[in-house]
Amino acid sequence: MNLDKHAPPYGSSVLSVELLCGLLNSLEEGIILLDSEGRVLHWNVWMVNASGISQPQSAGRNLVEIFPELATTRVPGAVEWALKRNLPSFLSPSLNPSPFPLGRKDQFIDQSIRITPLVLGSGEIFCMVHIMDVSAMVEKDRILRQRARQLRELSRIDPMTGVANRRRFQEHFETEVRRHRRNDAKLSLIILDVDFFKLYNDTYGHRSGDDCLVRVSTAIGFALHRAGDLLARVGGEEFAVLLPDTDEEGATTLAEQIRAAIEAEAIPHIASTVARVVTASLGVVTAVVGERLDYNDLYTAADISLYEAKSAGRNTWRNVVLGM
Amino acid sequence: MTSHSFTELELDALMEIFNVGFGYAADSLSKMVNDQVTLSVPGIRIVNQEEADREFQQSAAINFCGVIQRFEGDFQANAVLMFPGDKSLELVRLMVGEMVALEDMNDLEQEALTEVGNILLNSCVSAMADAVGGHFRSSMPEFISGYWCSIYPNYRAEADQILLLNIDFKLERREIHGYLMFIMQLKSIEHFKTAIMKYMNRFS
Repeated sequence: MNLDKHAPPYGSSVLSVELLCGLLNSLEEGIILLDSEGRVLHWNVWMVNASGISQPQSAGRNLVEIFPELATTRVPGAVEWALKRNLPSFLSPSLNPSPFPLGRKDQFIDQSIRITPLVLGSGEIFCMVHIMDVSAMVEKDRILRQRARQLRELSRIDPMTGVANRRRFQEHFETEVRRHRRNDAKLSLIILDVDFFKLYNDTYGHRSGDDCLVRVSTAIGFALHRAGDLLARVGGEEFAVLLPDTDEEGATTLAEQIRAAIEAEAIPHIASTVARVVTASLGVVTAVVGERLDYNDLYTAADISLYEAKSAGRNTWRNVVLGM
Repeated sequence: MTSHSFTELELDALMEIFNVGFGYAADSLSKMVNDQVTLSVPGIRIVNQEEADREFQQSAAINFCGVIQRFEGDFQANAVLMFPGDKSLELVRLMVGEMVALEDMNDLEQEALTEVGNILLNSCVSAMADAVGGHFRSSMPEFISGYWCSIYPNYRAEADQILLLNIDFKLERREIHGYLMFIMQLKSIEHFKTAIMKYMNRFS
């Protein structure tokens, strides 16, 4: 804005302190002016309302004195950058969750903050902290993400059996590894193949094959009791179960329960050479969650155990323990 | 004007200065995300416009996202941090820790990237100011996105050269490659070069 264009009579002379304060107070945003030592010279009415701290109460104190919770945020560093180095800073709401305790006590407003140096012609330096309430934007984002999550949940379910699909399973694995990588938690994985499933399909037809897989997945599901355990259909007749916080003993006990549960479903399978009913072979792996635990390594180990279970005559489990 | 106006030794000195800045930036970013963020620079060079065009227009379909700040003072520069394709999204999402990603970069994510760029660019400029002396003022960081050919013309200066750094962010076992560049006028780059030489002479 070029004020000179309209001068006189409108020029900088018309900008009295009263008018400037009126201008700041009419803003629907927080403005804090700091002196070269970082002490509050002025904050506007928006700040008074949002913080419950009056202008006289704030004047002459630095921000951390007024809001001790700022000490662990980027705000003091950014003020120093402005005053000592003449550099502006931008603090985004997602990387800085509500640095200023403003608004309701149970839910502070989300803030987008600009901290800028102001240098007068005389060389005198000030710092302006500009706080915008972006709670509405953050809320809108939260709703959008929630919808996206719901949609994604739907796209992560195996439509036939209703259990998780391979994609969801892998994501769950990554989440569990991230959650536990700093402690020595053990994690186990069971993979399971329905024995002679191709022969089952050939004998009873594909529709019966589908029904068989649904019953098998239901049987496995009943054997799982903890909220964190995840069952997924990862291939045609292949299922996988991820067991967070589960050691070798827990995993093999569960593998045996699953094996027995599938056999107990008593789904006739006359073409099977193992039993008269549908059975499954299981490969189990247990590992310590650490920085290096890789999905593919774990899966490959479970796959080898599964192969061993099949070689041992099927309708059984074999297990391996990784790097312990 | 060739594009090789800095000697190896001068580029080494620059690298040393930038490493101080990156150290500071990595520290701030690590604290913010409560996880180890490391920054490394596999390459530094000076390129002219044609070389930059060649580098960034190789694939005309690559969309860049980034942050720009205009620095003025003893020398002028448009400082840009930018990432190809969806790397900027990946970086922001790793930092914010949001598992559910929306298709496009939304306002909140743009702001987060702007802040990351702001921290990095301010850190580098502070390190430069400490090393070579001088004072700078800077514009607020601004989010930019688009093809190279649409971004660059807005920030190019007459007869300019670009101090171009490849930069790798490492966090959560992921590595994200981006570019940091200082687009400078010839006159500024000469001032800059003189300042670097002074800096080097302090140690010789």
